[in-house]
Amino acid sequence: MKKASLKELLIYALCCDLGIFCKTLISPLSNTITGFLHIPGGVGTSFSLMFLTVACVGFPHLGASTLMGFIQAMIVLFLGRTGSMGALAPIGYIIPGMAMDLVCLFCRKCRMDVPLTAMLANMCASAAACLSANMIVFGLRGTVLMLYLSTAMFFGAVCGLFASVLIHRLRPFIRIGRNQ
Amino acid sequence: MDKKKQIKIIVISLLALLLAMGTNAMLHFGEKKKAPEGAIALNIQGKESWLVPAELELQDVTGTVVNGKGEEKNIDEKGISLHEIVGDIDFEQIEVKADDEYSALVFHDETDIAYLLVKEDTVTLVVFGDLNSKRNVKGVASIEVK
Repeated sequence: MKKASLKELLIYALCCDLGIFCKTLISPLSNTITGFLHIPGGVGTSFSLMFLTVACVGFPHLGASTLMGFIQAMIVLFLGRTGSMGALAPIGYIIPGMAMDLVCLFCRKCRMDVPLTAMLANMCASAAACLSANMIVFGLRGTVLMLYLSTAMFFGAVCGLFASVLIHRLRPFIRIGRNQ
Repeated sequence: MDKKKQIKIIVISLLALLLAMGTNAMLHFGEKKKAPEGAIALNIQGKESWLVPAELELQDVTGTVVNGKGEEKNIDEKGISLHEIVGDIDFEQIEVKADDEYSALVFHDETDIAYLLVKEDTVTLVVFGDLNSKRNVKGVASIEVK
């Protein structure tokens, strides 16, 4: 496995922080959408996972997403920003990271392009985040769970495409994986 | 993978997800029964009715609760205890659910310390004695007694 360079590690660290703190910025908009749909969330999570996607698809290293998820979990625990998930909040960060790693690995094996990889990675990570939050906190069932999941996956896919645009813009400054 | 094929996959995926979201939204909204303005759906062991906050006999509710940051907050508002809503019946638990499906459970021996605070159009569940705010359900939409 290739060692990550200092530049890559700095990008990972930056994206970790952006993923946590930008969620607050988009809260008013995401609450408008989720309030209209009568679901507990899904939009803000997809947006925050976009930064993990930028880092992990732009700098493909095995285990990077899981590591970033773990670091985000530690940050929110130390800052006390666990929300309604409480001490189980780390699960809600690590599981999406693992899902993203698995999807990125699959996409690299299939030699998929950056936009498709980013879209699938963000979509699956959003779905994993929602399912873990549902398991820990919400306990939704039936059509409301399906709505929650489909909303998260849709916005996950859209944010994944935004992530691919960001990766393309950062191309002069970052190394793209050999499939692209 | 061919670029045109990938673009097709992306577009089809987005349309499929949008369709799924729209279908689920229609099914979800279709399940929500039409309620009187501001009313709370009440289901007491299968018997359904509506609770209109404006028609309740509210009393002064005072006490201390812990907010999401772990800070104590004094409560001095109008409300009604769950015991007065449910009455003296035998049950296991009460599920209080908000409009965004967030829910909390209140057990049989807690109905005297669980209150619905009514402020303008918003009804909030508070359970005195809790060490956190997990059961502070804002915007109560339904109460189910099981």
